[in-house]
Amino acid sequence: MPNLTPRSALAPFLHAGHHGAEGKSGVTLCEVTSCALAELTAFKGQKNALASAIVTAFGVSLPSANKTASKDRVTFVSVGPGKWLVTGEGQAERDLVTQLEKAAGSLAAVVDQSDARALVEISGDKARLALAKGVMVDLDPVAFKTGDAAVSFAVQFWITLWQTSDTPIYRLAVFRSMGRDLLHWLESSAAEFGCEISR
Amino acid sequence: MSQLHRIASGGLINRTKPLSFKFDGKSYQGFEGDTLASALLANNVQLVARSFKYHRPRGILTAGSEEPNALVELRSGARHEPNVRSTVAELYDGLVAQSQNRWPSLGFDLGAVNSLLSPFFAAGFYYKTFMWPAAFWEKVYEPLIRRAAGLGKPPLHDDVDGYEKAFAHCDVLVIGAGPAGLSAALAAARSGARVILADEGPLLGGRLLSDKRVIGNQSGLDWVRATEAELASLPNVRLMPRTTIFGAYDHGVYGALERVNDHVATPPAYEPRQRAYRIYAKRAVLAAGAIERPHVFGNNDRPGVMLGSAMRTYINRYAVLPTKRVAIFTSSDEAYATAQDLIAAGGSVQAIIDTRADATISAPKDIPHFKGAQILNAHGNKQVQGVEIKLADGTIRILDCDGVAMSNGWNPAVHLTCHQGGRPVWDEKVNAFLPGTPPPGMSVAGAAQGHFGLKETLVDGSQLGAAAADELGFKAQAIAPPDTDPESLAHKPLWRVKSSSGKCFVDFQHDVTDTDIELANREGFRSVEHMKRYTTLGMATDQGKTANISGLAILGEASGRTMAEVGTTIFRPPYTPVSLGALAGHHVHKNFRPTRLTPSHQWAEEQGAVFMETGLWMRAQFFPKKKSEGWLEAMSREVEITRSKVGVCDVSTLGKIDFQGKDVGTFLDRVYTGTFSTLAVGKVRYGLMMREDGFVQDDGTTARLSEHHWLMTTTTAGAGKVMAHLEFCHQVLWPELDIAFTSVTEQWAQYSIAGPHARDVLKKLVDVQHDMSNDAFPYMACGAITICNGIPARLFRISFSGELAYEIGVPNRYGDALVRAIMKAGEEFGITPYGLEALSTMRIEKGHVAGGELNGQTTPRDLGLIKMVSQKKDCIGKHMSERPAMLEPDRPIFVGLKPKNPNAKITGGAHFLDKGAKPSLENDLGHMMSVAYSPMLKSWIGLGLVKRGRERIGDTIRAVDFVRGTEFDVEICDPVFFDPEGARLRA
Repeated sequence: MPNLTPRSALAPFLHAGHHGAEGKSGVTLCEVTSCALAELTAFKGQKNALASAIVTAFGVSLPSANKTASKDRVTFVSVGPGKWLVTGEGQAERDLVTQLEKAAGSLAAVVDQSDARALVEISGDKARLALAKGVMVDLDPVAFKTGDAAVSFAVQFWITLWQTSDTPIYRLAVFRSMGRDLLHWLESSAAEFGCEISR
Repeated sequence: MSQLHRIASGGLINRTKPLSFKFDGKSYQGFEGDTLASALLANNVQLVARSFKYHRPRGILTAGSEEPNALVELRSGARHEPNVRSTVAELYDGLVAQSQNRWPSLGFDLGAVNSLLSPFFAAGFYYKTFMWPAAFWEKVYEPLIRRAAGLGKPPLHDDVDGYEKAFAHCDVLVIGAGPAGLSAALAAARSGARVILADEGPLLGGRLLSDKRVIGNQSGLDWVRATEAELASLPNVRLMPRTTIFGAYDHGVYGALERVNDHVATPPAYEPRQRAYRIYAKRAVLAAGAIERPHVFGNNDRPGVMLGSAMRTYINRYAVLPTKRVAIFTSSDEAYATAQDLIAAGGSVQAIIDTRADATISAPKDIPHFKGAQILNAHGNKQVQGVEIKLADGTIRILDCDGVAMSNGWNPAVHLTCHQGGRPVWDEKVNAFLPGTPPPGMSVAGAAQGHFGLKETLVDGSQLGAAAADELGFKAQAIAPPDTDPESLAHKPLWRVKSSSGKCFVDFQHDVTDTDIELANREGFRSVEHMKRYTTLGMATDQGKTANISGLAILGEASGRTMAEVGTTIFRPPYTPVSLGALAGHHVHKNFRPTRLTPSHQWAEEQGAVFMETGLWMRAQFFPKKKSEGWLEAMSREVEITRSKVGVCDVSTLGKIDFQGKDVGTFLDRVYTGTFSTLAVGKVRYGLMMREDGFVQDDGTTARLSEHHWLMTTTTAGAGKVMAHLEFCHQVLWPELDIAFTSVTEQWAQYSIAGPHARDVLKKLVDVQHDMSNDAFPYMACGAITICNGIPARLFRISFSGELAYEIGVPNRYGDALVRAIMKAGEEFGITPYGLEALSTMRIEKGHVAGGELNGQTTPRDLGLIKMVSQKKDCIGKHMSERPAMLEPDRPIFVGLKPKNPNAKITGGAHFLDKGAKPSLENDLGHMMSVAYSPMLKSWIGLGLVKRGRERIGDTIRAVDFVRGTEFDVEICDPVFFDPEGARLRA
């Protein structure tokens, strides 16, 4: 029986190292590979019950529209009415799904999406300017802060975007097969600021 | 080369940075801070262009973006750019520019013969002259005219520079950084509001860069510097020089073009040449200033004739004396400042010719001063050599000069206020059109509002900037503006000089004269809109910024109407031209749209696969064994091996939708033609989906993974559309159903393993605890399994090829590894990968419908799938598909078609006719939808729609392809060509 080696969404396309303008690193970019993703959708009329179940199981309140909520390694990102993208830092995909299924029972649908998205993390003092070359959402700290999230259309992709730190650090998820073009766009957009890409 | 017209000191140029440039092959020098126009004037180059229609010599009229004349071709090769306004093109070292629209040279232009023919080139000339014969228009007249008349040549090569698009957000957008804009920005910014201050030029300051003014106890320039410094120090302010706000759109969206690197020879690495912004502004203050108006007199287009304000700009900002002996022609007091600046710069003012008999302002000492006088004509050809003046008493005098400075009042730059339909309103007090109804959220400050005095503009800016921020909840306060030096704004415009003998130009860029407008009026084109189109007034690249007003006045005069009665045309975006490259931004070449790669892409590339684009996806079309193997040969081999041994194909691109909830069965029953609620757990069923109108929109399979968990597949092309349809059904039609669904297309890498050895291959990969026997996992079974030591997988025993086949899905991260593992496991059975060609051939051999048949024009009945429409329940499209016309027996129906000669390459799109029938709509029997060469039947085969086809199995008809010019006899047959009993499926 052969063993199958997993490969991350961007592995074939991501070239670690310095890109763009020499001598500066305004933007840092990496693929987030150690993070399980699942979609949680409340069944009809179960939103409140689900919220309590999640508080009990995860110790966190499900975030309202355009917000995220985190506890320990798990982050809930609001992506629509009664719908959340859940990330489990350093978790095996199945563990996250199992945990969620256990917590939600018959209150919500849980779908593993760990492999359905390319997930990147963008940081650096020029990250906002680079992102502004495609993202229509106002990312200025007065409008978008740590814990804020947006589902939007950027460049040519549907994106889920959320901020994880004030420094700032953003996470951006797109459909897996769009990852290559996302990366290409980000690299081009960040090039004038100098871009550090790591795996 | 010495710059003979450079003033010895002063100006906002950097004399320590001399720059070399070439114009029409000749080398010149200028300084950092120059524009191409100022550097040309410094070198006494007066003749820079030829006009559009008459090829008249033209010089530099203005010092701004309104320039109609001095357009040049900039750069060369792939960076060649036509119609660049030399008045705003910043000089850089090594700049190369060419004059345009002249042959063989600027000095000697044969096209100038058009001037002699000018009676024939008057307004409406084209329409009248080239009426007949009609066919001549496209072939003869238009090419001739296009060659004779025009602007620069378009670039012939792909642009080598990069362009970007970007988004920006602010509370208050201030458009224009003159005194009004700077005050507005400062007042808004001090309150903490987020401010963007954009100006088309490289320096902030507006007219304060060009006029010697005093604000408070400092010079205007020092005030600009202090204000700019404070703005730059505020974190909530973004200064955007070299940025034109070119359009005002709905909901506070503004279009902006930043010329990031137009001022250098080539953009630095990784930087774009230009960047187009979409700015979201909660409020905007338009402080775009005003544009000075020329006079309309004989030969007013001669090089050396310039706007007075431009003359001051060249003197004060660029330290250039454009011409040395100047006649000042004015209807306004501010021309007297021009006279003073000229004298201070060492120029000579030959006379001040003031059209106002009652002008009260006095001329500088010793300067001839003619009140109530007019310039009738300018003399000279390639430069003014003198002017003919008519004095107040009617006497005519000739005055020697080499330049004319015109001042006829100002037009507020109201353009952006019109972008949402606002119509400017004539104001008698300031003799100008003022903003009508600006777009919501926009206020207009300073000269753009007709407040021309410096103090007024400062007050305006400060108040409107503060008000804008205040409305947004910031605690903003207007800044009390300091006093300014005295100025006199008195003016009384003169719209035209009558009894000139020379041509009097109204629109310089489109060569429209006063008589053209009179002609338009005589011929009935009296509405401004009609006059504009008949004469082309204001339709050039400058949108008539210096032209429209005189044109309207002349029309009013000719038709006996006041300016207010005549009214004005309005302006559309863009304010100044925007290159298409900037609007496209990043989205060029392969970035035009995303390219989606399948999980097996890299592996397929290694195999030398030939790919084809299907929607956004790149899919393997076929896998040639060697380079010389063409698609037909490769496809035949792939089909033969798959049907005799085993083959593998990446089917990950099919849409996959995960359904959960207790009402999924009900939901599926309503969207599919068949019944799904009865489907057993662990089974798959084929489904057909109709639109509301009864035509098939998509097909696929749906598997029941557990009681309340289902997985639907869609076609590759239909995935997005189906998802949207289902969302509509759930959110709008049946929100009461308790279901949750989401796309999992990208979560799973899925491969079809097909052929007699499919199970043998699979057994080598599936973990041992799973029973793969035909009994345990029969045709149309599905289930969750594990493979390769515990990797979760989903297995479906479904077949598109008609062979014993499985589709196996694994989390996408294992997709690349799995295809390699399948190939390795299949090695001993002679496995082949197969591409889209083989996939398509096998489905045609089996008579399965796909893209060609699911074209949105076929019903289940047409496709021979009427039995798939359950009569026990309702579903979307059912009633509409049963309309009488849809069930009409003559409506063509799905059949197979086989050419009588197996080698005859029948073609899709061919129409069917009975033997001997004339090709006509009445005789049309239907058409061919899909064709393939069948390696199994050793013949071309096809699927098509034939009128009463099912009743005519065995008949021979003609397949006529008018597009390709072919015709073949074909036999109507059953659409299932291969293994009609389906024994192979269930093996």
